Amino acid sequence: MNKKMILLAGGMVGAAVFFGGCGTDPHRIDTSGNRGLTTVDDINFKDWQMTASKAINSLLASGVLSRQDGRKTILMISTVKNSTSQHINTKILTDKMRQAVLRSGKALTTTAISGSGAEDKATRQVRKLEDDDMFNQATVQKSGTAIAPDMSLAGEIIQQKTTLGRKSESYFFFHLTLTDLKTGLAVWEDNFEVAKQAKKPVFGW
Amino acid sequence: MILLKNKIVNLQIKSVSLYAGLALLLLGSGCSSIIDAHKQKKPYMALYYGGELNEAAKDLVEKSDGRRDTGDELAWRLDEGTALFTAGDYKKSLEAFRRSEELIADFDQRAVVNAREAGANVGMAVTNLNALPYRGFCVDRIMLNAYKALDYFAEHDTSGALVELRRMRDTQKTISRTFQEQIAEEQRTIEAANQENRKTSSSIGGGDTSMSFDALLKNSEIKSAYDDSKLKSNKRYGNFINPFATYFSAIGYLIENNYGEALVDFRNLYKMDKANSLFQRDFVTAARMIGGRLPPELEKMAPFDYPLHAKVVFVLFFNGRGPALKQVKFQIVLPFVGYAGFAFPRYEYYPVAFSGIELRYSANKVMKQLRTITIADFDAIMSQEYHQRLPTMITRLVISGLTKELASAVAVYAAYSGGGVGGMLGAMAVTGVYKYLFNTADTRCWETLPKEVQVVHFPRPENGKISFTMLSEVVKNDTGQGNDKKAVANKKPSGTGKNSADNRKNGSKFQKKREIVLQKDSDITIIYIRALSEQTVIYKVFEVK
Repeated sequence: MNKKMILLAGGMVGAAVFFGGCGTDPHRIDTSGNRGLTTVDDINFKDWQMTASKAINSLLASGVLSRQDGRKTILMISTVKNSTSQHINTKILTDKMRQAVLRSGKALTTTAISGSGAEDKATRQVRKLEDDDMFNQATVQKSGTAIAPDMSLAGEIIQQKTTLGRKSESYFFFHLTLTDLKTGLAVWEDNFEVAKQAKKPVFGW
Repeated sequence: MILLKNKIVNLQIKSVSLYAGLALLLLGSGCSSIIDAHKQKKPYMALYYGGELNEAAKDLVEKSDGRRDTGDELAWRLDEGTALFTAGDYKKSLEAFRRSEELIADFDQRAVVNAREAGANVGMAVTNLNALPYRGFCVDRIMLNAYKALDYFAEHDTSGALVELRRMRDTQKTISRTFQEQIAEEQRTIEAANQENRKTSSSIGGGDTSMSFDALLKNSEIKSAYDDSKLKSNKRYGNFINPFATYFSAIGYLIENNYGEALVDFRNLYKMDKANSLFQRDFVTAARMIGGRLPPELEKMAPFDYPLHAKVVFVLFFNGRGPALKQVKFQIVLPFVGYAGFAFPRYEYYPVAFSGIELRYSANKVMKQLRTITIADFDAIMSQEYHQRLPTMITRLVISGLTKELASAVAVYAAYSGGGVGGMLGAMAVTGVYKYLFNTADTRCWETLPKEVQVVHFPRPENGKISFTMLSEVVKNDTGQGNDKKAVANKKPSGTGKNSADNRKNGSKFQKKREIVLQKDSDITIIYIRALSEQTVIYKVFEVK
């Protein structure tokens, strides 16, 4: 048994205990700041924020949501396909975009239909009350009154991973499209990229 | 000078006491350093392969939790995850596999030189290779995501399953590099240990104690393990590629209507095993679908007369028990210390449960019959990795053993100097017991993997009804690789089959022809059939898309 190894291990364990003891209590951080955690393999909250912000600016600046007839465009949120190797919820992106579109006043979004079914099932459910004596039928929403969407927002997120020596890298590619549902033509498309890199340390716990 | 000698003597006596204390501590901890993992897993595997799935899963959960944050945890978690999946508890199975994934990620992300690794190496130097954390074999890392994908399919989460299939592909792509890094790291450890042993040996008047695998290969036990694993391994798979993972990946691409990528997988499968009739026709079908190029020998082959991505049923048959590492011992003459016995791990292979499955279904009101085809031989996949790991593993084992022998010789020498013959005998007894206790092979591995995977696919029957029969009798299989069984219906008495709805939820036990009724008009249906033994077969139906 070699003593150098014991000393080295002992020293490293001691250092690790010394530094490892300096933890912090759970605390809130400012979501608009830059203090969030950054990991290579995941899309962190800052990545979502930055991507959504760029996508919203690009979509609103394109002017495709404006209509000649004075009516507001009705937008449905279709599917943003997760083609990454991470379990992610793409609603973080689409919800941010939906809210920004609403705030812009250029379009309205529908919750009665989306890529994965209705965002809010109530629109369909309340129409089933037509056969229910309990409700005043004059107040029951009638069939044929819900407004169908004019446009659909869809997309895909792709991840490519690379490792070289101690370095690892993830490249996330967000592709978003806005389709005119009357013609099936894409009236807006844009890509947004997030690339992250980390290097494995030489020494550590 | 006398003072210095006394100090050394005291230090060595303390070392002997430390070893004895450590031995006693580990003896009571259930650690694989004392009782080899395969022996520890025996009762759990008896339950699992005996079809007592809920009991096996429950016991494995308890055991894994008991080994939490130890170097053995991963080796237990993987079996826990499989047992829970087989027992139908998919959520808990996912939890076990997620934890396994976390452990592997933690190993991979550690600093090049890290305190935990150094600590484990110190532990290894005074005990055995079991003191190092189990990091998972290449096959484990690939199958972990494959099982997670099955769990997600069972939970009706196709998107989640596809994420796992992507991870499985990533792992398969990078596994060769991970393996090379691990071997390089072990080579460095061997070199450092060789150097230290030389120093220790010369300090007590011994000669050169350097060990190499070439020298060790002269030992008949080692040579036999090396040659057997070479014979069992299948070179065609190459670079730890698991053909089941490649096939499962292709199914994933078909779910996404991505024929381009599915074609790449089918082409690779064909390259792995050109004689496999399923690989040939899958390759031809995918290539014809998107106008891909075919090699001349397949140009005239007819594709399947149905698309592979719509209204199709894939049967994945996980057959029998995969190999498990067991402890064997060998004697070898070591420089300076003479004869020494070592325990090392060697694969134990199990017979196939069935030769295949015969399936019947109706297409255009005509009864059709077909049988499963072997696509992945886990004996070969796991033996290939073992064969490549064996040189560093054995060399490291013997060098570590030599280190202990030298330490023991130093301790006995010191005890003799300090306490005369009585002290020497005492030291010999303590170091002898210590060496005996820690002469334990590292047999940690994933023991609930199948021996082989067979696959077949066919168009979804109009009436949704599929019947199948397990087949027995030994003959050559489709790929001519032997030790398979012939297409004869299994005549064993019927078992404790439940109704179809129950089967979907919990899996079912049975021994003869059974019928599955598909509930949804899905584009892709996966029927997972697991033959744990000739007595225990379960199936699960995942109506995916």
